[in-house]
Amino acid sequence: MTEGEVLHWIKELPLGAAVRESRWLFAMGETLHLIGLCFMVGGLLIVDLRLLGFIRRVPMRAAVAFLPFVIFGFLINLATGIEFFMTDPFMYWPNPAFRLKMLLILLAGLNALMFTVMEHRRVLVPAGGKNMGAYVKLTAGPFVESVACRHSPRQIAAGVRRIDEIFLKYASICRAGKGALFAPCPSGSAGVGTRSLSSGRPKAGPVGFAHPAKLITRRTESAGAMLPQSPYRRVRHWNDRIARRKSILRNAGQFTSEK
Amino acid sequence: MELLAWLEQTDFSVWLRESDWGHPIMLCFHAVGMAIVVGIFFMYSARILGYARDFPPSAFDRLFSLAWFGFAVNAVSGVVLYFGEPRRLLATPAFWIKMILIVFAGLSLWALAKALHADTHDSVGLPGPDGALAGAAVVSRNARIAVICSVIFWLGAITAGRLIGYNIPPPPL
Repeated sequence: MTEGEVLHWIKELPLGAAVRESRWLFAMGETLHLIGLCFMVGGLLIVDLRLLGFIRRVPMRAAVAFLPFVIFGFLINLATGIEFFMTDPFMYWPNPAFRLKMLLILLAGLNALMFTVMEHRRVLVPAGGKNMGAYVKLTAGPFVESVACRHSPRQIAAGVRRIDEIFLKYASICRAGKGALFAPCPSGSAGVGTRSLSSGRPKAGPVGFAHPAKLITRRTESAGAMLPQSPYRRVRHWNDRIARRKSILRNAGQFTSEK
Repeated sequence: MELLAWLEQTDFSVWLRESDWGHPIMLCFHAVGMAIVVGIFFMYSARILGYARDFPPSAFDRLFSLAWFGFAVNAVSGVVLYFGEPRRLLATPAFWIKMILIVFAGLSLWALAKALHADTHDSVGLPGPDGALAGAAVVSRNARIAVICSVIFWLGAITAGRLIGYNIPPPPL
């Protein structure tokens, strides 16, 4: 059978003939095609935007629950699309727009299949859906996902806190180095500067010519209260939580030791 | 009517009617915008009617901003499509039915918002940041009726919109 014969056979099937003769069937099919499109796009928007992190506080499972609407819409569109094709296959088949559309639908189907096989379960397993692979991002759309989506807030906070600590260490090295090199403590000079002239009490601050490293250890040992507030809200949040935990533990320890 | 006849004879209108691309491209925009607006609304109505209860309804706020974008696309492409054949559309019943149904759909959405607002404020003791809609909380009968009406209006608007294309030819100039 040649291509033309196949198309002719399709055209002569009873459904195509019925639609061609009826005044309303084709229009009703087109309306249903549009309604199916609405269902498909609506469901896909929710699932894809969730995968992209657009509505991140929605649980992944709740977003994926809208997939049946997509399938429902697709089935409507498949049925009505077949109906259209049967009315006049010779018009649709050579049309480049029709072929492009079919190709794109095929690619979308393959994409959905690959998503189901490769990532579906992985996306559903973590409750918040934080660890999403590269394929999710490719399938969900052309947008580049931010770092914030790949790492949990805790991980980010830990990373920023580590950067903060390193920064503070360097800052203290610089300060200590400066004090040591350019303003040496006058302790060596017969105690003139070490006591204040008015009260006679020893002056606060480093006494003698300390090695910067020792200053650092001293600073970090007594750190706690000395840590300045971090400029990052998340770090402040986690520092607060850690401090609260520590104080709770400390209180608990006192309580038990008193007992 | 003279204004419409003049509009129909402008270059833009003639281009929309007679070029290969003008009308189809505008129609594509119209269809995509429709899919966004009505699609998101259908999903929202499914949520209101009790589907996917662990989906927080307030998450639809961001989706509604997208829906408004789709509505803007549709408003613009709709006006442009109207420029293509102003006199024929005014003489087409399906066009008027579509417009009326869209207005009704908007009104029922407004009623829905009001009913949901009343739900969240009347109900005491329903926990959660999403108020009355959190978890398995029941949506009031008014809200359900508003949602169902709105769905029917949108479906009718889509049908009428499709039938515009099948109606009578334009009256001669």
